Amino acid sequence: MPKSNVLFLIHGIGNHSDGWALDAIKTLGNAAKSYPGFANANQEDPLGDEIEFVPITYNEIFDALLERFKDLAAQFEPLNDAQLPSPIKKIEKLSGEFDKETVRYLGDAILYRGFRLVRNTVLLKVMATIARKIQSTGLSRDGTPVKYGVLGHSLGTTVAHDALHLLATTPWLQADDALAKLKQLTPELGQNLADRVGNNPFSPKNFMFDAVFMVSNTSRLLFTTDEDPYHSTVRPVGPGDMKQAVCGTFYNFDHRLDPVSKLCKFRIHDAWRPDVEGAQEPTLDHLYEPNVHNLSHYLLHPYVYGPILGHLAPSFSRADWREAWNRVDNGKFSRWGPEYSSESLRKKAEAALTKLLPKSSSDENIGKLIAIYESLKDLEEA
Amino acid sequence: MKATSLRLATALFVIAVAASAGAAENPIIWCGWQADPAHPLSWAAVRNEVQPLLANKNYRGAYQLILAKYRQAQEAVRERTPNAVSFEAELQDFMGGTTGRTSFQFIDRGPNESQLLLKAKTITFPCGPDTKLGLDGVYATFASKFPEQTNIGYAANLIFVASGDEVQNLLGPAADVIDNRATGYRGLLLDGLPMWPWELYLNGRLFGMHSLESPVPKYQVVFFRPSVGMEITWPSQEEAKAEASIGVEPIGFVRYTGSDYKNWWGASALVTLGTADHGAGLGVLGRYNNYAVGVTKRKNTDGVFMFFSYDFYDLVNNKEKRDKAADELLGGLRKNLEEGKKQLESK
Repeated sequence: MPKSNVLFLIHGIGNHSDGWALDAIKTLGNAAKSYPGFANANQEDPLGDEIEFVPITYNEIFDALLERFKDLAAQFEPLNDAQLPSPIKKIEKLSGEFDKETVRYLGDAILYRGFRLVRNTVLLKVMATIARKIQSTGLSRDGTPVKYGVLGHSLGTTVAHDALHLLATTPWLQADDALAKLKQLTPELGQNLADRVGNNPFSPKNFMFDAVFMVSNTSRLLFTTDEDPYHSTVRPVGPGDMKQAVCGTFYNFDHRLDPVSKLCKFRIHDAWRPDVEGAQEPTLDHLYEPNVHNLSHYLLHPYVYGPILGHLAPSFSRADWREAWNRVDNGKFSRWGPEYSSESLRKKAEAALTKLLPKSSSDENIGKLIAIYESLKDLEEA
Repeated sequence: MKATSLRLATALFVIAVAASAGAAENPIIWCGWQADPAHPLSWAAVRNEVQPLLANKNYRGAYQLILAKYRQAQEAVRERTPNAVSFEAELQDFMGGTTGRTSFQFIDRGPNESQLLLKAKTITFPCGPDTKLGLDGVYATFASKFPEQTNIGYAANLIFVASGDEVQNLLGPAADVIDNRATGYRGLLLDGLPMWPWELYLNGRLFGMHSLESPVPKYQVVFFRPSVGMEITWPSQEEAKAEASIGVEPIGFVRYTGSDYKNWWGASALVTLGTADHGAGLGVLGRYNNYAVGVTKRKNTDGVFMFFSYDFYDLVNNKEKRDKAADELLGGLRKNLEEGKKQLESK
């Protein structure tokens, strides 16, 4: 049986192999199992028939490119230092630097933000995966619309923002004259499609994601589109603006102690006030592990998994969704994980994270972002 | 009594059909509710008439049929409310091509309501228990209290599904274009002539004029590109010299010859810095794939120098292959030497 709806998952900075999303999917499945709608579901894979997860990777592009830089610099190694002019010596020394973990982290953000050819390659890969999946799955299944969602995490929120905006606003079919070819083959149909659908079937008037979930949003710091995230098409649809919004509902999940999302913080009220009906930004302050920036840590919270399952898992009823909200209010979902049962441990963890929060707007740059990533990693390892 | 039994039987039939359909067809409408197949505007009720029109790509015919059925259903209810007026106006706009299909997409606003966002009006479908409206969060209660809005909901779903078939025609061609662009950019970046970081930056700036709707650039600018090579000069047999050299291409270009970006040719200005003390050479360089040949002239030396650069990137990449080839060659030489020795000893 085909799965009901589709969720694209876009990862953040760092190494992500093909199975990078398994933890996140498992966390969502575990959450689903605790609701009445999933009482009869396969307990090993409760979302198996509900949501098709499509994890998208792009960091292999950064890795391959850094390898190319490394190899280019390595060609000077056989020559003696004395034979090399000083600028070339500096270049040659670079080859040893490309393996360092900091460079790999820095590389992801800087290559994406600073190099248009790299960014185009990354964004086109993401867009191609999304477009092909939507095309092969279709827009409806025997009378029921298929719902599509996108979840971006950390740098993935920027990639998601940029890719969705470009997917929706680029006239894809004009460039290759595909419509002209279609008109030649079947004049009437071709003309009708050109008139009614236009040159982009992914434009908001033709296609809208049901929901976009931004987890630890970095899009204001790193976006590369001509429109910034407050003014682009990556926004929830409001009355009368069907041609401008890529999604029905927009969620901005931001943990109170997550330092990553605080750099150039994305605020729904600054973005779209007063028309914010379709956007939500719940307060998250749970603590289950030292690195609150982790995607799986975000997904533990009912305010996060509730909307994801509510939008995309047919068995997660509206009553289940309401129950998810209630679990926070009635304390069924504890704010503290089992490892933070004592007050002193909580205070210590909170203090460590608070120390990482940016102090002023002058801190808001990629260098600070990388420093935060490294500190979070240290916290996790400690 | 008879009427009650008939109603009960119908209800059981509807539940059974809905349950079986739920397993196989997932007929969700709005608020996560399953469609009632007995409703005159449900997909189950109109499928046999709509599907042939969609199969023949007669979309206009399908929309007209849905509109007619919608009007018929509304006539049985009561006079038109502002919701119905707005919805019918939106339908007319859609058929006239002035509004898109997403007007008929249900937008979930949390667990308690779904909405249709029309140009002139937002129609809200409450999903949860609501004492003011007398709703308990169950489809049947909503449908009996608001039959007109129920018709709107079903008709919106039908239009959204049918128009999805129309848009589907162009999803493939658009996905092909995006795929081609993706493959092209990946090829340029990872299969073409490797770029130093400053070349990567410059090419991105230069080709920034190409938005993603344009084909992937077939040219690449070469800029202050250093590489290792060999310089040779032979003014006469006695004076022939060969030395390791560093070539720098201050400016040049590369033209790709295939869509996979694995083949290219190009030309650059060339400055060479030999390891021996002959001063700097100035000249030009031609390039085909990873091979480059240049001609330079040095101020204090007569004659011209030839600069050969097997682009060492490829050499570095194929180190394993080279080592294996060298081992085989050495092994062959050793074998020949030993055979030669044996022959000499036997003599």
